[in-house]
Amino acid sequence: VRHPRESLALRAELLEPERAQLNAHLLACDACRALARQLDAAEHALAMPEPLIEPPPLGARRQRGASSGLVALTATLAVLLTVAGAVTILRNAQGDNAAATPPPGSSGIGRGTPAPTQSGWPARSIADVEANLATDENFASTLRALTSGADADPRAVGRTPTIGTPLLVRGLRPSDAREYLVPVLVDDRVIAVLRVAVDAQDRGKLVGARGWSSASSFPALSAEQARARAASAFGATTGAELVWTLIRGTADELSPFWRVTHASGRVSYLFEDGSVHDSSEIGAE
Amino acid sequence: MRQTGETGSKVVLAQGVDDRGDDVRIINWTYVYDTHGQTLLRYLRRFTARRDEAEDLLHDVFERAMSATVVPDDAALLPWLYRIASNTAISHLRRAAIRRLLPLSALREVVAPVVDRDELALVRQALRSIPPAQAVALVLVLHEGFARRDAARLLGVPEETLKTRLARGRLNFAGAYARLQRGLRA
Repeated sequence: VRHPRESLALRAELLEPERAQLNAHLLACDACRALARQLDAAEHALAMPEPLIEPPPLGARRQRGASSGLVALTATLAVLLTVAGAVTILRNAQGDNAAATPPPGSSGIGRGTPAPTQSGWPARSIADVEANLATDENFASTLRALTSGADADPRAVGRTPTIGTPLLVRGLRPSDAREYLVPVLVDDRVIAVLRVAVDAQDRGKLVGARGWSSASSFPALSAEQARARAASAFGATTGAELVWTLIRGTADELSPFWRVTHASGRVSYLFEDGSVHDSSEIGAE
Repeated sequence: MRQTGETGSKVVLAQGVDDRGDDVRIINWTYVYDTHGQTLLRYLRRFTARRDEAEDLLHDVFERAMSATVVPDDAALLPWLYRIASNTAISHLRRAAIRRLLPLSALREVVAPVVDRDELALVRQALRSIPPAQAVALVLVLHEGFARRDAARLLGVPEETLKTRLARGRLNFAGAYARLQRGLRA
């Protein structure tokens, strides 16, 4: 005889008389009725479809921790396929660098696209970014991609997104350049984040974007909330600033985190997933 | 390679015999990727916190597929790719679970994570919190629409094992999802 919990998990497949026994039990047991409702809700949630996502080109590999194996493999295949007349893969055979170099006619927007060149616009301050971002050559196409096309954000389709106040994000390591992250909003809800990279001459360029569904605002936690969380782990805080560096699977240019200073002199980090870590665990400074 | 005739397949560009007398087939991976990449990416997205992680996993899937010495025929190709994707997803989920426990490489968690209110993100988060084999079984059957028998065959387990994973997975997922909806840690 199965436990009612197990029977509930299998109820779609139960045969008589077990089904009748379970139904009789449900009439008498509040806890199992609650569990049945929970299972229904979970099943409904599991069936929710994932949005359509356009895969990146084959061989245009991840920005972090690239696999040289795939690059070599793709290059080999490119040769084979070229012989067979299917040359589309050849362009992608350059591996990671191919991902960083937009093909002709593309907007050039994506994670980890190249640092800006002198062709950017003045970006010394938040006011500069607010004034100049709309003139960026990639700006219109980026917003268009959000509101229409194959990979549009359903929340933005047919709408006119607005641009929020840019956030200054400092690079944590000396080699990490500073940047601005600019929220894109629909109905006061952040749906995407634009990345403006800033070069040594304080010139900015829109070089990346990411969708955002983790919270109605970006970042998910304000500086005050970040300080409160960090304080609960490591004691009183004196300040918090947004920073970025590359930590595979955890942080990158478009996934900044809070650097929190404590009254004790300690430094902690609060990442996008909500975890708090002492600076000694990261070794970034 | 000495070609031995037309393949009649969009997947196999050419087939023949090499100098050692072994059968050789040249696979049109571009076609395979264009045809099935999006389906597999959506499947993998269920198991990741971020889209770029899913893209990474998709590349892992094709890396493994392209390294395989035997590639199935057209009809069996997608289930075979799903199998690779499922194994890749399980490995990813296990690695993520280990990362949550390790103090250094990805860091000791000191306080509860931020709760994501987005429904799809909650589903993904709840799936990441249950045993990986159960998560994969749930997604294959309840999201991807595989029949139980086909899912069991695809995963290389007896149907009874899959049934058990589904039952336990339903209970574990429902608990984790309900906790996340209440703003608690999964």
